[in-house]
Amino acid sequence: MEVIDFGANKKRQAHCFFAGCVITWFRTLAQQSYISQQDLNHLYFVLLMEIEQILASIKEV
Amino acid sequence: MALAIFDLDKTLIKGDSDFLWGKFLSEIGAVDADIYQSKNQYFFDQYVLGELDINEYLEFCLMPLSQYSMQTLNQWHQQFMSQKIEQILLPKAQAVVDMHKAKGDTVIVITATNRFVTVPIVARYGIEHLLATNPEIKEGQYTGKVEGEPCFQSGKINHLNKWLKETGENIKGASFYSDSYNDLPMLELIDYPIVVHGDDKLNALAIERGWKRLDWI
Repeated sequence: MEVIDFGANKKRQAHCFFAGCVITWFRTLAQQSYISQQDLNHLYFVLLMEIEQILASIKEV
Repeated sequence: MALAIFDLDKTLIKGDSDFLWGKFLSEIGAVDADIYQSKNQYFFDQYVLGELDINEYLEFCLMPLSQYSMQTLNQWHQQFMSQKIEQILLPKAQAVVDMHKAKGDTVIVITATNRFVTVPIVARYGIEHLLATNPEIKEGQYTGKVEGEPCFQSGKINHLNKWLKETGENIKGASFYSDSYNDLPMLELIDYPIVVHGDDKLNALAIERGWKRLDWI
C-alpha cells in the first residue's frame, strides 16, 4: 500500500482544525452548563499545551 | 466568555513592526537612512533592555507620519505589508487566535506600536479589537504627536480599563500572551499569563512563577 505524506504544513493545519473542533465542543458543553467556565479555560490550556507539543514534533520531510 | 489578549511585536509576529516600518522608510528613501536607522536601532535596544523613554521614542517614530499625506502613507503601508510583514506572520499564532475564537473568547491585541502601523497587521490575523498608541490626526493629517497616553507598560492597563468601561467586558478568566518584560504589569493583572518566546528577563520570571511558556516560531 502506498503511504501518502501530506507534508508538514497540512499536518499542522489538520491538527489545528481538530483542536478547533474539540474547543467548539467544550464550548458547547459550557453553554449547556455541563462544565463551568473555569473547566472550559482549564481544558483549553491542556489542549493548547498538547497541540504545542504535537506541532513542535511535526518535522519537515 | 473570556478575553484573550495578545501583545503584537515578537508575540503574534516574528519581529518588531515599528522597527521594521522604520527600516522600510529608510529603504524607500522617505527618511535619511543613516541617521534614522542608527536612532531606530538605539531605541530598539533600549526597549529590549526595558529602559525605553516612550515619549522620546514616539516623537522620533511619529515624525515621518507628519511629513507625508495619508494617501502616500497608506500606499507605503501596503508595500510594507508585502515586503516586511507577510514573511513574519506565525501560523501557530494564528492557530491559537482561532482556538480562542472557537472557544467563544473576545480576542484583542494590545500594543505599544502605533495604530497606523498595526491596524492592517491585526486585521490580517482576523482580530477585530486593537488597543494601541494613537497618533494624533488633525485635518486629515498626522501631526507627529500622540493622542492620549502611550499604550506602553502600565499604560496598557489604562487603555484596557478604558476599553472595558466602554464595552462592558471584564477581565475575569482572561489570558494574556506576551514576549516582553515590559508587559509585566499586564501579565500580573491577568488570570492566565502566558509567555511566548519570552525575553531572558521574562523567561526567568516565568520559570520562577510557573507561568506557561510557548514557542510559535
